[in-house]
Amino acid sequence: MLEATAPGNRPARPARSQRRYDQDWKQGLLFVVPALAFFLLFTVYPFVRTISLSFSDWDGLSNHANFVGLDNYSAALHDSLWWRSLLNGGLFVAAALLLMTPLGLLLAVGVERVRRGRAAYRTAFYVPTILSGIVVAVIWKWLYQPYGGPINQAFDQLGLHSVARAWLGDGGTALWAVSLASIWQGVGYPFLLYLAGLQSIPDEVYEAAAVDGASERRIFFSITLPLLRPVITTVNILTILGAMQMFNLVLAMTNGGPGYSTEVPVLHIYREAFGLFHFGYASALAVIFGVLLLAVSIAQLRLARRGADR
Amino acid sequence: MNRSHVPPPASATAEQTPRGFSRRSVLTALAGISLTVAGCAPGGNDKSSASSSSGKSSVTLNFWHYFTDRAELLQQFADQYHDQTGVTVKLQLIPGDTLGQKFQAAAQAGRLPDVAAGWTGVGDGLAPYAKQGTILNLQAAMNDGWSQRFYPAHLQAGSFQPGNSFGVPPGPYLVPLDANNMQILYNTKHFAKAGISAPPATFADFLDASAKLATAGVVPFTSGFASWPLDSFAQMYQYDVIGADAMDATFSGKRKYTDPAWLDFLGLFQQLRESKALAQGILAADMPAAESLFANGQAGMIFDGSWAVGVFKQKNPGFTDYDVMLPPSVGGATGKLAIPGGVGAQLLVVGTSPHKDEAVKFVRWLTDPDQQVKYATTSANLPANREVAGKISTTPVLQKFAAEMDKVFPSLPHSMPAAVNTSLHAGLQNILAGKSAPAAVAAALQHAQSTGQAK
Repeated sequence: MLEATAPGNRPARPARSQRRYDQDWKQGLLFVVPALAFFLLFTVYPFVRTISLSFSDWDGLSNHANFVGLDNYSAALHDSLWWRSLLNGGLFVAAALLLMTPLGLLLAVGVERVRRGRAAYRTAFYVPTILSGIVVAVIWKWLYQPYGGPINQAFDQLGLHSVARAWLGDGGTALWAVSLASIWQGVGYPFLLYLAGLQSIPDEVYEAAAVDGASERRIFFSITLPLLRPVITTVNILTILGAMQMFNLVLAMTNGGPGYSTEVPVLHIYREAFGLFHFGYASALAVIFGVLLLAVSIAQLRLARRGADR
Repeated sequence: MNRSHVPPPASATAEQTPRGFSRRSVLTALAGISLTVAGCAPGGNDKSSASSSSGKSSVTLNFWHYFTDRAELLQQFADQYHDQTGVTVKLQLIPGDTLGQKFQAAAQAGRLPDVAAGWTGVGDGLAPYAKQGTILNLQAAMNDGWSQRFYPAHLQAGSFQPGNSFGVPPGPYLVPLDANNMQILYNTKHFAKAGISAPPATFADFLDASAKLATAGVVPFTSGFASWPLDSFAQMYQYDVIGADAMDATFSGKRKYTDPAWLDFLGLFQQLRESKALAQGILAADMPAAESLFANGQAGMIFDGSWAVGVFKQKNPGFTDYDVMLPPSVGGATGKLAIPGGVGAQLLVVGTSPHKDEAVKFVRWLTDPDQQVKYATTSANLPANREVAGKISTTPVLQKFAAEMDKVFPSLPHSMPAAVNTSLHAGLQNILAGKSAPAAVAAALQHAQSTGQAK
């Protein structure tokens, strides 16, 4: 029988049960402590330390650093290279959102429809994703080689000599060339997520639509896409975060050049910290960048939620 | 069901401590915490200074280097040194372009090696370490007769001068291991095919020869302009056009990068852009890519160092149709071209190492005549020890490189600030890509000098 209790009061626990509850709680806490220690040491501490360094002029080596207030943040506002790198990051995001995610969806829809060899396709499309960024850079640098590179040779054989060029050495094409390599490497991830999303849509929904005489196109736009909305949101957020944080491909393929045509935010932060010994300033840029990515993620989530509510 | 009705496991009941924790859970948790703490605790390098029973030292020295082509040779030296002294030298090969970052991270973590290859010259990049004592000032060791082995200019290149702008105690911090210089190597067959009878002596001749090579269907000129070779190439023409005194005055802030001499220097790169001299994709090419192009006989000229002789031999043993020439002068302020180089590989001793004395002895041993002869003959490099420089038989091309060592430009009291250097590298690439004009780059350099921020 349930005992009546005053609102807001927890029902009284029998004394023995209470003791047992306390024991379990403390025991559980003991098991959590190592993981908590790791989390505090390797996540919370660096995070707090980065924020505190962002208000200093630490050079990365000295035993002391001077407090400089908001100087680093103010300098970031006037750092034209920082803005340039953000713009380049935005272009990488645009290319990834407009090409990579639709391509991933297209591949997923195609693989979902095939009856044989689905596992082989899944593996083939996902292999580039598990390759190291440096390996991908080496492969694509070879493909883009101006002399004897397969891409230029292909254009030459097709009679398109004027199209062949130094793809990475030309400021007008370098960013898009790196972006293409990045899309090739990254498309497997949205593909897998979309494939999982497609497989979770119940067959009954499609069968009902077919009975109602809906066309393939109508089914795709009225059933598949709306039901994939949560996956699309996840893919978009991960794509934005991944493209904005691009680093190793750029470092290995162009090192930000020619000039600053492929300079990206993380490379700029890296250069400030490790090349110019401006650790305090680099920390401020890292904080700004983190806040920016958080804001973009929240905005994307809200947009998705608003779309779902309609 | 009420939780209190569930019987506790027998073992748990038996080992229950008075405070309610089982002994096993306490031990497990403590082990976890211990592992966590142990994993995070700063561990020293594997160093032992105890003497072995044979009387030889059992010290282990950790040596970080980036000499990919000389890794085997260095291992032979390490084995030989161990046999002679009992000191173990553990070599770790690290890519050259990341050694600086690895050293910095290790310095922050207190896990530095005992000896390391110098990844940068005396300047912004080395000053913080030298100032902190992280890198050893070798003045005392050099005073003991060690300095006599080296060309004064080579030793000076690794020394912070008295009154330097970084506030570093003056003295040598880098020990030269070999010597080199950078010039232009050219393919003799391609020159003959293009009708070029003599190596170009002036910048105008160079552009003319490039045009002839292009007409003959040869890639005229290449180098690794994606990275540091562009800076070395540019430095050469800074000396030629601007002159050492004006350069130093600009670096120290007494003159501006927008002065006419600097604009003339930057204008040279616009001329290069407008000529047919540069290989396609030179702005994305690193040195190995450029060296492959030249060693495979596709390029007419390459701006490279004396080490290239060994590289070409490795890449294409049958390739011998090349010679070397001094880069063409524009006859500017100095009227005399100075070339990059002097010291090649350099070594430093970590000042905070508990075995710094042993490390100094090992580095000194590497510069002994016997080791230097073996080093130079095996690696096709010019030795740093001047006592043995004339006693080594080398190829004619290497002999020509060696003959121009006196043309290596001297180190200046002030060096180009790192932010300006970054801006110059990008600015030159922009000029060569047709994206910027010399005046805009000069303004960016001045901005970097004034603000410390690359632009």
